[in-house]
Amino acid sequence: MLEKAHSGLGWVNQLFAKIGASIAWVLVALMVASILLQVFFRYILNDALPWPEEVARALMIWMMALVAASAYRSGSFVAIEMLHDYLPNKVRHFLKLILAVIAMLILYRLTQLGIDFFERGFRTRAASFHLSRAWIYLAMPVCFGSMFVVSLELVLAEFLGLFNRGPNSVKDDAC
Amino acid sequence: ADFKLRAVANSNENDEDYDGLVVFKDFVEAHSNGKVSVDLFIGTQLCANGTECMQALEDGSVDIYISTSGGVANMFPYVQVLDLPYLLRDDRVAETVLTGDFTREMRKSILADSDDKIRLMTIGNTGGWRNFANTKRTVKEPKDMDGLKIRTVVADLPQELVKALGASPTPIPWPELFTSFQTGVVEGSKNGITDIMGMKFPEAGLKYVTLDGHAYMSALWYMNNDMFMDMPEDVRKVVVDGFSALQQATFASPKRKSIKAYQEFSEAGGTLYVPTPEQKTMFKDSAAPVYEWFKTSVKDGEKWITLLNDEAAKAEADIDKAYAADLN
Amino acid sequence: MLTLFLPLFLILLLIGMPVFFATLFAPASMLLVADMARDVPMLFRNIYNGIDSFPLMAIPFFMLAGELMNKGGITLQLVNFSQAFIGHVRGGLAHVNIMSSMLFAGLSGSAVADTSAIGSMLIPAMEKNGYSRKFAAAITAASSVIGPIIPPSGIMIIYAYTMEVSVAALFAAGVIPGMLVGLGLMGVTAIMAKKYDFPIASKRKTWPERAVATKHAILPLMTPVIILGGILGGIFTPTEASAIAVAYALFLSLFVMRTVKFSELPHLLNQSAKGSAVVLLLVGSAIAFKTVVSLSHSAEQLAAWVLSVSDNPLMLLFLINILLFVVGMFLDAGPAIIILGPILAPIFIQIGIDPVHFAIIMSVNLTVGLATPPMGLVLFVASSVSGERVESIARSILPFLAVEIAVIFLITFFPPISMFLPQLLGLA
Ligand code: NA
Ligand code: NA
Repeated sequence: MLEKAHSGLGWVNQLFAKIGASIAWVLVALMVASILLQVFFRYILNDALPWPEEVARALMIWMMALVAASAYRSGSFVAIEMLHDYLPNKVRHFLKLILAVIAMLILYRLTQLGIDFFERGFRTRAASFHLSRAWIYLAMPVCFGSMFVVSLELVLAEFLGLFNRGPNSVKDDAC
Repeated sequence: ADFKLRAVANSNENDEDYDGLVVFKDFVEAHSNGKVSVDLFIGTQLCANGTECMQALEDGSVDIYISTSGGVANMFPYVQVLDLPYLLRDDRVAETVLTGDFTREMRKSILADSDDKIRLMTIGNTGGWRNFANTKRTVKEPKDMDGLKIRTVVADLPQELVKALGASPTPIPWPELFTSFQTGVVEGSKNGITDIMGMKFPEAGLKYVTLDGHAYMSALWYMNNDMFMDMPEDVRKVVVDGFSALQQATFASPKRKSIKAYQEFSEAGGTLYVPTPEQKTMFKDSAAPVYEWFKTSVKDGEKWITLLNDEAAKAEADIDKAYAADLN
Repeated sequence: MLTLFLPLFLILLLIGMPVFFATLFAPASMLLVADMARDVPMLFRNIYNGIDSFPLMAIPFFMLAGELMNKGGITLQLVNFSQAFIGHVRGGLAHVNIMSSMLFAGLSGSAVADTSAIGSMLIPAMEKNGYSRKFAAAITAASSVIGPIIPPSGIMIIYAYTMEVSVAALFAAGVIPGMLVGLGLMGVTAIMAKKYDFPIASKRKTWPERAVATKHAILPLMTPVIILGGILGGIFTPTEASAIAVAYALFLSLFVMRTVKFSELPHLLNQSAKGSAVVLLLVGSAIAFKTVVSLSHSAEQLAAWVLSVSDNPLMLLFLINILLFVVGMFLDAGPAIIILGPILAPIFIQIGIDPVHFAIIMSVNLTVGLATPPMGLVLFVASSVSGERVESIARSILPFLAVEIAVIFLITFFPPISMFLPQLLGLA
């Protein structure tokens, strides 16, 4: 049952990682393009555009939001795991489970706050183009929400690992 | 203390905002007999800009905040009425208008638009008046502005004004402005003299300042409304008096600070030009498209222009009456 | 009460909580305990604020430019260029490793990129040439810290952003210290080469051969000229310069050297997106952390305590270097700067240290921390590139670390080393 849930979550997370990766690189390309456009207009045409900087910032935030979960899943969030080497097996798994649960709770709260942040974003608009800031803010709940789903998978993995019933880390099957 | 207020200004300790806060803190803490304490957070320690700080104010994690009108233009667009050029004649008119009912009207609108969360307490000054300055030539009338690349912030109103005067608006971040003058990326700006000297712009070639006084640099001071309304009435009175003292301090502080700034400006080889009344009228006439822009693109624009104009006219009449008595 | 978030943070780090979560959980939980729940949303807002920044955008761009250059065979040209000039001396490849790192530093802002680019090329070559693998990995790791000292530098962008110092000034200030680290490492290598009879890489190249190697390397070597010339000359902002570096790297690798195919671009862009997402979230969480440092007034308390210990600037600088070195052993340079910068820098500026000078002391010290055990990121990269265990690399790196520590103290007590260039250029 729990194994099923774990592999189901893994499937969802891999899907999101794929979708995110197929959009994120375009956003990076657009970021570079808008800054180059800014340089071109300012220095070559002597006519500065007001929007490239703000647009590039919005693209950067969305870029981050779309790949953060897969970076988290592949273990790119650095931690000092020195202590773990000195702990008995059971204790280490228990500690890792607790850490994973705390991460999950943090991400849950961040997602909640992000949704609130998004909803209030409708009251302000971007300074240099006509778009409600909410659509930029939306990246934050997407970022933390997708990381939350990854954290569920990690918690399940640690839980299963505690009873030696499954993979003790998703790092092995991560993309 | 029963009420611990957290006050934020995104500037630094050399700024008029800080002077105002110091006066406020001292006044309120002394006059409330210790019931109110004020903790100052100067800079970007708690929140970094108008949008984010106003949200912190709504949440109640900040109790007092000061913004320029440009800083909250994307939330309450009508506050930009204060940035409209040449509507306020001089310090006396501006100060009379801002101590009067205009501020109360604006308080009502901001309260309504923020679900009763944000209360405009007072409007003071930060940095005196905005003037045009450039690296090329003495600007005496609008046609001298022709073709100059003028730095503005990323906001519609200042860009409209620069365009209306025949110059071309160029958005450059403030920290990059110095080198932009040096390399000729921009040829002018619209700033107060203390900012010009604070950034040593004359060293980058910014040597021509025209005292057209196109905008009074208003500073809007807000408080979290729940925090304010939770106070008993006698404490609220102390706070309101505190903001009045703060307002007077910020009216006075730029006048004092600009003396040294003007001195340094001329020592640095700067040229100051004071437009004649006729030339000022020419500036005001050229700026007409900006008023039109404001009326059509800002919600209730017409109402706010009319209100500010009426209040300015009333203030001018009062001051002229005073002249009649004082001059003879 | 609230100040307890600092020890709590340390404990969480030590029991293995990822830095990102510890930076948020420690202050948030103490806010809840101290009955300041209303400030939790402010933490969130400051994560966003920390990330929504134009200066920070230079980090993904420099990262991408570095990936493109490396993928584009540019590393190879730099190595060949170095070999043409110093390959013939005793310990040739070790010297080539260091010199290539100094050259690569002008293109890349990250020590990790340097280690993986130069390490994957030179460690096998050095082994074949007769060096031990752990020595090859150690010198790669030790010299790669030059990457973020010589501009461009991700660490200095972060410092400039959080402490409101000019990026251009920091970049200018890093040039000489970076070269000094390189020369110091070459000095130790020369001594070791004599003592242990290191191999020579190749016979002395003729000047025509050197000219050919230079011709192949000249286009990549123009990158730092464009980037630094543009930034220090006040023509581009650092972010604009980083976008130009990306365009230039694309141009070189797609059209000139033809080592990257269009079809590979999505993958390369995604790599830099992923890498920078992690950095951006770390910066965001550290900015949120900084908020609670302000709220708790712990910076002022700490400053008062430090100044009560001693107000002799030389003594304090000595102590601070030890503190930073220890911190650098455990914490990544970026988060360490954002968390400690706002606490430490004001104390030293107050006792008369130039903000740019202090920025360099802090950045160089924490950068060297990238190569110190137990938590040196670069050691782990060197280990995965070489297949050598972290522990044995950590032992072999000690003589090089000793030189780097000596350079840190030189920089600390001779301000002109860092201040000469920025002052010459009118930046400080
Ligand atoms: Na570098
Ligand atoms: Na190296």
